[in-house]
Amino acid sequence: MSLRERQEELGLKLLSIEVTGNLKKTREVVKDKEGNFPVLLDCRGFSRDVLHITGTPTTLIVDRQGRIRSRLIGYMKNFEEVVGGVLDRI
Amino acid sequence: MGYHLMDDEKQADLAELCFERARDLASHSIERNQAITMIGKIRSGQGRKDDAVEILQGARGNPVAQRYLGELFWDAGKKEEALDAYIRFVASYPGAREKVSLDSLYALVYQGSSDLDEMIMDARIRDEGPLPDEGFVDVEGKSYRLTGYRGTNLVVNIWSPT
Repeated sequence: MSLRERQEELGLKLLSIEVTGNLKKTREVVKDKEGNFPVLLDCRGFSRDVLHITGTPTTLIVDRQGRIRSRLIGYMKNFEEVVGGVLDRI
Repeated sequence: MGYHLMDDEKQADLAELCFERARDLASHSIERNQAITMIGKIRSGQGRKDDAVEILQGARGNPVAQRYLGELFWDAGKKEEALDAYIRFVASYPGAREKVSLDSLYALVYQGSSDLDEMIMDARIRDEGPLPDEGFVDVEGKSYRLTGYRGTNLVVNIWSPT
């Protein structure tokens, strides 16, 4: 079962942050993508300066208390399995 | 500066000094650990293996430091320590599991054991503290705050279109 199908069971929200804040380019990339989640523009370097993201893509998993519980770097073929596994344990 | 200098073997000592300065001035543990990782990489490249191990062990939170430690330990015949480091690396870089041949190395050391997945998952979960708040707009111009997601589990994918 995909993460989207498990969203309710896991009490899960998905969020995407684009680090360059480039509206035009981001719109081009996401226009044909399927996904029912917000795509936020990081215009002030928050990801780099505050979240200390050292490379993209990076996935942060945050628990219900708002605490960062996992930081996953790079592309993953088994994204759903990895992220689902963390969510099952937090 | 350090990254630029470390490309040239002759400038490695100067690059190391730059990263030592960056380590001393770092305001956050992630920045500090990144500088330490680069110092370890330079020392390893110069053949100063023991010095590299010593400093890399101070950057436990940096996954790339764990990769370098894995390589150094494996070369030194410290296979269990190497696997421990590789597991922490793969915990943060799931896509690198095949690249470092973790499954094969694990099978060599722990023949017949099958708890690798569980060990990686355990190393994957930690507590980095609260997600800092910030306001954003999305591609449609709608406003969001990160604190608006308290009370739900949240997966944040941070990416770049280039």
